[in-house]
Amino acid sequence: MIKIKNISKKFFIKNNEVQALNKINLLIEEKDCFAVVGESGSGKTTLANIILGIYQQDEGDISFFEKQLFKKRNLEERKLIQYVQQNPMSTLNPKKTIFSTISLPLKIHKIVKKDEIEERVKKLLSYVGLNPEFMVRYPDTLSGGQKQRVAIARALAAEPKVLILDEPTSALDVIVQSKVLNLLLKIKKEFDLTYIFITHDLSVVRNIANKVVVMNKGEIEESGETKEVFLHPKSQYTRDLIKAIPTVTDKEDAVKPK
Amino acid sequence: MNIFKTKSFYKFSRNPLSVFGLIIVVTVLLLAIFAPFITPFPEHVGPFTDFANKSKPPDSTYIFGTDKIGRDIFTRCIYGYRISLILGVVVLSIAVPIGVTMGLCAGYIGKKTELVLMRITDIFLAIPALVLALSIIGLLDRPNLLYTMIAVSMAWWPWYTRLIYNITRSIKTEGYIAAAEVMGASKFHIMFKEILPNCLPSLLTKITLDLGFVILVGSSLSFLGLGAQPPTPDLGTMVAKGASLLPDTWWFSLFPGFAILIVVLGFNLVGDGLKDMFDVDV
Repeated sequence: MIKIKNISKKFFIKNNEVQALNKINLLIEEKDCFAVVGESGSGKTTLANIILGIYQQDEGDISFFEKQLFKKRNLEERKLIQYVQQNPMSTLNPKKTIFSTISLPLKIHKIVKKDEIEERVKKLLSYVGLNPEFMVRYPDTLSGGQKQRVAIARALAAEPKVLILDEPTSALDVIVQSKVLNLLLKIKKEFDLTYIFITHDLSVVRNIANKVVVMNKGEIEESGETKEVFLHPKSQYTRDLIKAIPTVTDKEDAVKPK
Repeated sequence: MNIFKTKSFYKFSRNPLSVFGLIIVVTVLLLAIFAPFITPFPEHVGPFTDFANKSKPPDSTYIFGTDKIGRDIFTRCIYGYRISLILGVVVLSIAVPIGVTMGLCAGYIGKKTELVLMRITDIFLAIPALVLALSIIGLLDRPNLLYTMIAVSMAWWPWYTRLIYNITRSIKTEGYIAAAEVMGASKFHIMFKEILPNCLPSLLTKITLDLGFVILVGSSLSFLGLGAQPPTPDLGTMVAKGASLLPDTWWFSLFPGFAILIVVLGFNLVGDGLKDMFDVDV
């Protein structure tokens, strides 16, 4: 579905060259829950931003259903790939009500008729587990988890095929984290979505992803089926990462590679 | 949202200076609007002479005294406020939209647009507002109020470009801007519907502070004879006319000068209050 071929991206920070991505190749199939893991600075978010069309890659191609994607995209191409960001504090415009935030994609992509917008926003809010009365509120009266739910509702409003989740739970506490993850799983099933799940939390990956790619310093360290990678990691870096998962019980510890 | 119940308004209302400023501003506005009903001699505004009562010092009939041709200075001061306020409002309603649009474009679009727009802004900023206004009026035919307004506007918009440009640059990297881009929102939408609302507190504060300064610059220009032409009452012109006769007929200049001081002070105090209330830097 999404084919990424030889993508490279460099940044120039104060005359220093930083190779964020180096010749990345990936194939993401329909209905995958595709996890991208790696430590901070490994190029995960850069990859997501290139798929989303926020950055232009220096080299390489992305194709979506056999169609090339560039940074400049038309509305139809924009609609199909949506994302949920890492930081719930900056994901919503503080000067806009929840209603106007969620109704924006509905208006841009003309998903429902004008008089049905309010109804659809209410439906989306209750779908992500928020009271429809939240519509009139401003983001600063919401908790982190609630903001993230609003961001998910906004992404869903565009009726995308692919949802890129850029560490959607890393800024939330553990209980809220699991609630949001459960919501995401429910949504995936219901809407037949493809997820690209960017995270550094390997225990989350083990629970929800079917495929995983491990990135390190802009390169792919290892990729494959999640189970396979977790049980028989080929590279030393992956092994170290898996060992670093905090565990509570011996049973959990036993799953780790020796 | 009821503004009077917000925490920020509470902060504003707890500052006696801001409240004092607000009282001044509201009073001046009411005086200017209801001038024909408040002033004792509305006919003194036009071409009017009463040589029997010329150059009278302040008394119970003419509380600010009368001028060389017997016109009531109090009446003319109140009508002078009308001219000053109209000048302030017109200048800012020309300067603010230009400045804001340029600032948003330069800050958000970036690259060559930014380079061109900001260098133009820099050129305008390099020339002092009063000098620029003087030379523009010099270029435009003979002086009148409209030309003064245009000239001051031309000197004023670059400050708004700079302010909005700086805010836009810092907001541009926020997540919600990226989200709007990914959604396919137009540049126009992002600039005016996403970024601009976040600039409003700073913008409102600067507009309030600037109303005072624009009135001051307008008065300075009319002091130099480049503002509203006689017999229209203009505070700057009145100060200028009386200045040569100081200190004998002190009331000619003192009261119009005091009137300018009061209104500028009022706008500045309110502006400072807003600055604290919104917690912004302008």
